[in-house]
Amino acid sequence: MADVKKELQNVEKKIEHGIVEGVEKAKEVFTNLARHIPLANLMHNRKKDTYTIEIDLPGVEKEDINVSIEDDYLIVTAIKKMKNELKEEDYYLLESKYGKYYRAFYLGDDIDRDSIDAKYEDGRLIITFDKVESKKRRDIAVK
Amino acid sequence: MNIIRGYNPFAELEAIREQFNRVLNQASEVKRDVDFIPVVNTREADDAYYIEVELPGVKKEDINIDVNEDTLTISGERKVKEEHKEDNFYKVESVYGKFERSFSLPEDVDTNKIEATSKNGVLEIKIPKVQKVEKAPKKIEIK
Repeated sequence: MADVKKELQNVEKKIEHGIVEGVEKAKEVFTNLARHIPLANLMHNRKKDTYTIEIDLPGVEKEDINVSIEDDYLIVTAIKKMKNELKEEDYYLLESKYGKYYRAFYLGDDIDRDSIDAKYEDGRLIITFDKVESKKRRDIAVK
Repeated sequence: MNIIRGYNPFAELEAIREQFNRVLNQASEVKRDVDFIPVVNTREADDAYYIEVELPGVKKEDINIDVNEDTLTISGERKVKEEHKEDNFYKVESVYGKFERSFSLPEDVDTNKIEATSKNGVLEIKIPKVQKVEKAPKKIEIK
């Protein structure tokens, strides 16, 4: 009799564990889906032949920003965390978007991938590229 | 130049709706010469009220905080950086120009002790509450 009871408890525990795990998985999937697109500004300086991408990531710590180049894409991901263990309920008005940020930018042939430079200041990620040397603007002397 | 991968149309719709609500909510206060309304979070702690304002790409020197009677106003301007003045902007999503947002202050605050700090493009304003002087219960003797 005691064995049956034990067995039942075991099954119960397993089911419970399964549910908890399932919920965790579902949460993870949803947080991966719920990603935000940061605002970006794209500019080109003709004189210096540099390209600049500004990406607004206010309230994000530098360590939580990831920049990579995959194939012909520049990929920026970031996680914006609520500070000081504050929760959503602690706010009266909460317009900021927390969680994952993701954006990919297509890099044209004229962009020199190796020249990438990234810095973060005033809540903004600033990425600059040079133009590929052979495609840079040059003045030709007329003989 | 930018082709978005992992595009979530609903996120964008949501953002539009929120921006729209914000504009509507602020409609009575918005002045005609304001270019954008910053994103704001507000909360209350035991000792103070906090206002967080997202201002990526705005220099500290270009932000003003004024208190007029019971209204606190944050205003300023997002300027194009000197090194990008001559650039061609071929995409601008974060609005440049003037911004403003006002808040009515609760009664129990000490406007002389308001502090502001700026980190990662987020301005945090701390508005301390008036320290209540605990009055010991006084017994009146009947003569």
